[in-house]
This record gives sequence, structure tokens and C-alpha cells, in this order.
Amino acid sequence: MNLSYIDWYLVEIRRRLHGSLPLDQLNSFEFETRNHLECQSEDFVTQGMDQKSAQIAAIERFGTPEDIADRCLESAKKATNRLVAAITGLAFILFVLVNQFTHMNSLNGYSNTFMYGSSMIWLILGFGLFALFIGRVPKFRWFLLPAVTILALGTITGYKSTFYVPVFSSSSGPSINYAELHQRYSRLKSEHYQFETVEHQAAEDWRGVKANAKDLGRNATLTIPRIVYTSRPGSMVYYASSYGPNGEISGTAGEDRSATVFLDNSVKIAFQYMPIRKELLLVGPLSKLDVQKAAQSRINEVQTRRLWRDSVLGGMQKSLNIPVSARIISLTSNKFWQYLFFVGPLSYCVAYFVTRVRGRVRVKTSKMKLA
Amino acid sequence: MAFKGDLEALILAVLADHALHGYEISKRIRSQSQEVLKYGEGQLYPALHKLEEAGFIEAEWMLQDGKPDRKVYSITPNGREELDRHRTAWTKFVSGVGGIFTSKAIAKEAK
Repeated sequence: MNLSYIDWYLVEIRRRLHGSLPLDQLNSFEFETRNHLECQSEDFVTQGMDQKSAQIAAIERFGTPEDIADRCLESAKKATNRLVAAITGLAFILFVLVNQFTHMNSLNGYSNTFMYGSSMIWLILGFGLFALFIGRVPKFRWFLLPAVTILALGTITGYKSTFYVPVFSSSSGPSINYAELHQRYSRLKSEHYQFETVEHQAAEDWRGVKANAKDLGRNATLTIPRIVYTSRPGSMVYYASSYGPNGEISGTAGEDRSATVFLDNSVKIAFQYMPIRKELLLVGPLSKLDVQKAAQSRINEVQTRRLWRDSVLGGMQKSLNIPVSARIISLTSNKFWQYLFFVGPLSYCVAYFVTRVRGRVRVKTSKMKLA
Repeated sequence: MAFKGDLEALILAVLADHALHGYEISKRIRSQSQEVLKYGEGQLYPALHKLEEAGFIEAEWMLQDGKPDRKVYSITPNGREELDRHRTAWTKFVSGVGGIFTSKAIAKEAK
């Protein structure tokens, strides 16, 4: 196989660009270069040069393979950056759409037209940035399909959503401040671990009381070293609010220092909290069975308390499992943050004017047969 | 002082009247400038692609019977506006420099 100088030259360029440019781009560039060099060498031949000299002269005029490859790579790098930007913009738009569609709910959702409105603004922001990055004028038709889809689904579902935006709340839905809820959740979660340990010890104490239960006379008292909470009739719960270094109670959340618990309709057990000694006294007269019942009751309450906290924490966690966009807009009740949504239309305007003024309207390359 | 974006401006000027392929553009720049403007012809294609990306020119593949296909470039309305901007800048540049040269020549003659 006889390769011409032009073939060798193109091989050299391709070797330098291979893997750095998309194949179709590389092929197109090679095709144009070959065309150029062949035309040029034909012209040199008609001027009287021989074939080889004409090819060499055409190549020399075109430039060294290193130079050509460098220029192509520089231009391809810019195109890649634009591609990355375009993908980022699209990912942003997809995020908005997925977020929106995930939280549409026609059965149990809250009436939430704001979410639908804000999605439109987020979409405009996404498309605006996308257009800015790729240097094209944003087209109205880009918005049409996603916007119409969202609005149509909104109409079907009655503009409901599975999460609630508190700032725009009226009479519907619970009044939730997500920032506050998050703080409460964090606090309760840390307390949960603290109480878990102490309650476990307290339950152990009561198990000891139950195992060693005996009749208590009228003036007899039984000291329980650690308590978690005391109760008064009507089961208003007071629980320990802080603990000492050894797990002893150093404070309670309630003011009442004594409490009475009805184990059933007939038996009454009196507890007395000794603030100075930080101890609880089980006061007689009580039979062994009553003591055992009292101990079991305390053990059960510890368990109930724990289950209650688990359920509250679970509920809170569920409430906090909301989309990022909702968290952002509910960061504060200050409506300033709401106005940030105007960044969307603003970015669209900026994108529009930048692209319009600079005339960066990209025109598609099309194939056309010569008439 | 260089004429900023000169190759791009020259390409737009050459394409103002006709749609041309790469080699023809290069040939016209050389011939119309009486071989004064010389540049590595390899620079031409990145410049063409840059203009195409910017929307100042557009390209079409022309299929030719018995010959290889050719990519033919033509100027867009935005390209014409860009060309006008280049022309205005060039005219200002020439008149500015011309004014200095002329005044110096007059002063020399007066001496």
C-alpha cells in the first residue's frame, strides 16, 4: 500500500488527537483537512510542481501536526466545558422534576399550591442557567413540556403535596417549622441516649425491689436509689431532667415532690421524692404483693416511656424526611429567603440578554444535497 | 497594534457574498489581500469551528458527484452584524492611524 505525504501527515495528526476528540469530530476534521491539502496540492501541480513537492508545500503551508493538534484540543476543551455545564443544568432540572413528582399526592397530601408555583420558578432557574452555560437563547418551548406536565398533574391531584410549607400556611395542614422541628429532634435524640442508660439502671433497681419485696409497715419506707420519673393521679408524668456524674437524678422536670399512683381501683401507692437526698421513698403500709405491683408498674412505665420516645423520634424523623427544596424555603420564617426565588426569573433575564446581546445563537449544522 | 480577531473577521468578510468551503476561503483571503496576509492555513479550521459555535456562520455538507463531499460555510444574520462591528472597528483604527501618519507627513513637508 502506497501512502502519500498527505496520508502520513493526517496519520500524525490523528495519532495526536486520538482519544481526545469524539470520533465523528475527528473524522470530520480529518476529512476537511484532507480536502484542503488535496486541493492545494492540485493547484501547485497546475503551477508546475511535481506531485510530491506539491504535497510537501501544501503541508508546510498548513502547519505542523503538533500545532494543528494543539489548536484542535484547545477548541475541544472549551466544548467539553460547555458540555459539563449543560449536563449540570439538566441534572438540576431533573432534580426539580423528580422532587416535584415524588411529593405529589392526591390522597393524603396537603393543599400546597406554593410548591407547584415554586417548581415553575426552579425550572426557569434551571433552564436559564442551562441556556447561559451553553450560550443559547432560552426557548419558551423548553419549559412547555415539564411545566404543562406538572400543572396537569397538579390539577388532577388537586394541587396537593406530601409535605407542607409552613411559611405559606393558612388553615390547612399542621403548623410545622422545620428548623424548630429539627432542633427538637436533635435534642430529643441526644436525651434519648442519655435516658436510655439511666432508665435501664432504674428498671434494674425496680427489678431488685420486686425480687426482694416484703411487707412494709405503716411507717416503713423503701428507698429507691434511682428514679426516672414520678407520677401523680391522672398519670401526669414528671421525669428526670438531669443526672449527676454517677447517673443519679439531680433534677426533675416537674415541681411536685410527691406523687400517688393508683395501681388499680383499690390499691394506692404513695411515692415521696426527697429532693435533698435525690431519692424516692416507697411509703407503707404496703403488702409484699403491692410492692411487687408497684415495682412492676415502674418497670412497665420505663418501657412505655421508651416506646413513646421511639415513636416520637420516628414521627419527627418522618416529618423531617422532606425534600431539600422544602428545607431551604423553610430555613426561616423570614420571607427574605422566599424572595430568593426571584433569582430564577432573574437568571433567565440575564441569560437572555447576555446571549442576545452577544448574538451567540447557535445554528445547527444540517446535511444538504447539492441541487 | 493588531487588528483584534483578524482571522475571524477576514473569514466573515470573505463569506459575506458567497458560501464557500475551507480551501476556497483560504484561497480568497490570500488572493484578495494580494498575498499580503499570510497565516498557517491550519489555523483556518479551528477559527471556522469557533465562528460556527458562536453562530456567526453555518455549515452544510454538499454532496458532489464523483468527488468527495465538501463542507460549505455561509454567513448568518448574526455573522453579518459581527462583520459590521469588525468593519467599524477597522475603519476607526485606520482613520486614527492614518490621521497620525498624515499629520506627521505634512509636518515633515512643511519643514
